[in-house]
Amino acid sequence: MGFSSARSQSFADYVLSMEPEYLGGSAPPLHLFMTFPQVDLSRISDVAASAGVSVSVKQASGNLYDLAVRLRKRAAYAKLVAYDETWTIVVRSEESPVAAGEIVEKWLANVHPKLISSFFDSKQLLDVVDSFRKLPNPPEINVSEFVLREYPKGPTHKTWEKGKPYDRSVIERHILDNNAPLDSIKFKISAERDSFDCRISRNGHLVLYAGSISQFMSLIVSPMTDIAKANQDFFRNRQREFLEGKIVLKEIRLAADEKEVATEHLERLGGAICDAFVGAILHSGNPMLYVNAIDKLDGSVFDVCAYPDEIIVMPYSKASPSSLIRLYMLITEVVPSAQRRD
Amino acid sequence: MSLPGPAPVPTLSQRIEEEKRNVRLYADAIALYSSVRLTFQNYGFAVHVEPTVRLVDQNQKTPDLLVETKNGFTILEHKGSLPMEKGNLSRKLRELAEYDQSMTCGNSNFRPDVILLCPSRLATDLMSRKAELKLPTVVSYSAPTEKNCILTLANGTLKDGYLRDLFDMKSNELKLSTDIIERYKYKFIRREPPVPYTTHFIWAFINLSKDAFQKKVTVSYDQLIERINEFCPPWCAEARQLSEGRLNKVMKFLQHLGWIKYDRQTREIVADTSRGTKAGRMEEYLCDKFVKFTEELTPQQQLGKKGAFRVPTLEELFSQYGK
Repeated sequence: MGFSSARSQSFADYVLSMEPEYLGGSAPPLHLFMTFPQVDLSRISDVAASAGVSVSVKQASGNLYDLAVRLRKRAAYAKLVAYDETWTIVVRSEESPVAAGEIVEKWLANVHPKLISSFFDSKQLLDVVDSFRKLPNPPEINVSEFVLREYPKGPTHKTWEKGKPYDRSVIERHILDNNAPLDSIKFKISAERDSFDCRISRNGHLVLYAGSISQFMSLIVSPMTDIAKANQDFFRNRQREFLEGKIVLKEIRLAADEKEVATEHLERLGGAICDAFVGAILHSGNPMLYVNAIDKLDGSVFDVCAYPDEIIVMPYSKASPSSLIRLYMLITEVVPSAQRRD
Repeated sequence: MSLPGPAPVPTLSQRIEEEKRNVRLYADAIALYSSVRLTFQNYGFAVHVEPTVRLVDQNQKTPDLLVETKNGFTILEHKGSLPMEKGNLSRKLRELAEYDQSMTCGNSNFRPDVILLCPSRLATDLMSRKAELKLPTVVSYSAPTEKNCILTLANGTLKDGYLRDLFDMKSNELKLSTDIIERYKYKFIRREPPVPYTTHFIWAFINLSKDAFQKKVTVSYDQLIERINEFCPPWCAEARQLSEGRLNKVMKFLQHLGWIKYDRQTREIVADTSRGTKAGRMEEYLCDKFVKFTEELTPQQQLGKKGAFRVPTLEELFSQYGK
């Protein structure tokens, strides 16, 4: 699928205009964020202001907007492409591209849940890398680094041995052994005609370092947008309903993959939920965990029940997708072996 | 021989720990009742949770579980703990024996079989003192909140053959059915819930009315009670899960914490939902604050005393602040 056919012309033109620079390897890293708005674009400045961030949005052409984000004394300038369901934010900063990416990432965290970042679990990230093996003429995949996010320690960088071929099972083993999900993976795709060097992340922050921007868009961004949309849809309309005199619950079940969840991880999960949400642990040990959690950001409420083989999230009458995603990300960070049952 | 002295007064930290334990036991009891009910219902028997029964002398009682088969009725009276001092223990067991008489429930007249339902470790303690106590039929349970919860006939026999047949002949065990979804539909039983337990759930329901970035939320007292009772279905038609009495206690406690302002005249609750967001484990925080709160109350104001939960009007509150 061609990138330009799937995107609006103004955005495609904007991106393709950068192609020569990125092919030449002289351009700064391009940061890209796929987000799901819960608010009209005209209101985003007000929403950001109530979250203590200054943002200005100005239409450039069609659905392409200039975006300026200011966090205290730091600023980042980006392009925002507004579609009905998604906004894609592209940051290309000459001065300090890494900082600009960080500023936008922090801004997104501040305006959550009005603007929800996309997310990907470890399996989905590895599936994206694996997808290149299924192409008619499979390109070479060279992983240079991957990052695990261990709770509560944070990210741990793992360097891939130079020249060693990519092997998914090696990363999966690290995930299991370290009890930490895959946070990001940096890799280079080398084909006969085009190649590109990029990073894909659990929180939907994608980076193109060098190479074909059009290939990056069509082989990474487009499929990942589809996955992100499916992920969002999974968490939509999960609130408890009262129909014909009966309570209808649309729970989310996560099953432990390979090995059962250890009791200490269940206890740690209880603590993590209480830290990130307003949570009451009503049972902990032997080894079942039962927590009632209130999302302090938007007032969504859910019961979380965890057993060694299964974790069940039972939403109340209000359970926003953003809130459920935040909870899901937290659960899979503390208990990476928990896999969503679709 | 010296007479035993008065029981030592529990320290503040012991009382807080006791409150936390009560919260956990309350949640456990709900899980247990749900599993027992589901198990017997799966065999086609009717199970009433905390029904009202009328005795011959017209007094009313509320047994924990009443199982109805074609053979008759069996009461399962649940004790999560029992005093171990002989006099008090015997008194508790005699109270249980009071169910062993004719009674009515709805349109049915019966004389039930009476069973003590208790945790396994308590059953072991009781059995070790079998010689000195007049024990009823005892059914024990292990790990009530687990998927694998087992009932064991620890003492005596079940008179109802239908129920007896459910237990394994060799091990005297019956594996309970569990349905997590069914279990967590219920948040309250008739037994008075610990105030910190109720408070957390009321706070959750107040939060449901908030929007992102919104701190102050206004909720109607009447709508709140309706919403919770719709959300938490009653175990039986006659008992709503959240009564005004329970809610009033929470109103008073939340006002003490400074999390809400409740105007009794307009029946409007104004909540500051930014409060409690850094409390850590909410049940621990609420137990701690609640025990300290009750320490400050005079005996007349103690929670549960009649009239203790008259919530002051906003005028009264403002006049207090003006002093």
